[in-house]
Amino acid sequence: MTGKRKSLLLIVLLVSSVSHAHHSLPALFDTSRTVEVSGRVTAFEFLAPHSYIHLSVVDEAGIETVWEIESYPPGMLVRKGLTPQTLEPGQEIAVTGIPSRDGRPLMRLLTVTMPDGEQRQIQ
Amino acid sequence: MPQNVAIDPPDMSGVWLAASPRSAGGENRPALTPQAQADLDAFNPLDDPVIRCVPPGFPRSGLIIYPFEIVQSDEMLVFLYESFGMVRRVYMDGRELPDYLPPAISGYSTGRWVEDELIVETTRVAPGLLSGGGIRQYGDVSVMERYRQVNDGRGLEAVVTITAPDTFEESWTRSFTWELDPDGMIFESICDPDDRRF
Repeated sequence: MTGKRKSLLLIVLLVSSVSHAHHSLPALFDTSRTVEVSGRVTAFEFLAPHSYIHLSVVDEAGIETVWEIESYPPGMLVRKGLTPQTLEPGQEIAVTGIPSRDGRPLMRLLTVTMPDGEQRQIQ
Repeated sequence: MPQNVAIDPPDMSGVWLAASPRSAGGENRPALTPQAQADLDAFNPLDDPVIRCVPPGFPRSGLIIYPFEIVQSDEMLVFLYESFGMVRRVYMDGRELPDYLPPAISGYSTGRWVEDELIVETTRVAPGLLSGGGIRQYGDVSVMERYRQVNDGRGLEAVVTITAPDTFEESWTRSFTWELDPDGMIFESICDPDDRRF
């Protein structure tokens, strides 16, 4: 393994070590900022205590980044109209959210614009 | 046991969804004591016990955005919170709480009906956070909640007064509203402290 790869692995491990099963919003997210991305849903983890949308986002240079879009557990999402039947892999959506503090492609979901153009306020 | 049962109290049973903001930041929050301010300034969000899947405790648990269900009888109201599956019993039978009760994260709640208003008083809450932002209470908190139904029973309003002399220079009174979800249900939302995937 090259030194560069070792450094990258170390960074990944350090980042992973500050992940948590459950947390308050300020613990992981920079509440002073918002971000917006569009892409294709690759997975929807409909789970407690947090659900996750995995979103493949391709930039102008053709580089793909897979964002993790964290949101409420199932009960709260059902009440917002998001279920595994309404949000499925392959759909193109746009989201706004609160970005992670550490720069990972991770955000807390605020709004989602569905494939039909309807925007839903989630949080 | 003394009885304190209203003849025909309102039916507050059902699933209630938050309909008002829940921020613990502003909204006429009284000044913090020097100790509480120092603890807030030094607070690291990663020290929030919920990260270890410890339930948030009352009143934080009752005032967040997640819904609750009320199960009601003449002798007791039970609040079933979606968040962490927490349960809070409100004794309506006029009992007095024995002195030996140890502090509990949900405290101990007794209630009474005054005409159509439900008044709930909670004491002996274990020390903990009043908000995820780092406002701390030190075990001296007492809470009075005054609930009444509005909008022909489809809405619930509460005026909540939090008294915590070691935290706030004066009591903090806030108002909250909920909407009845007639066909709703409470989902399980259990936290696994060993789940480190995220």
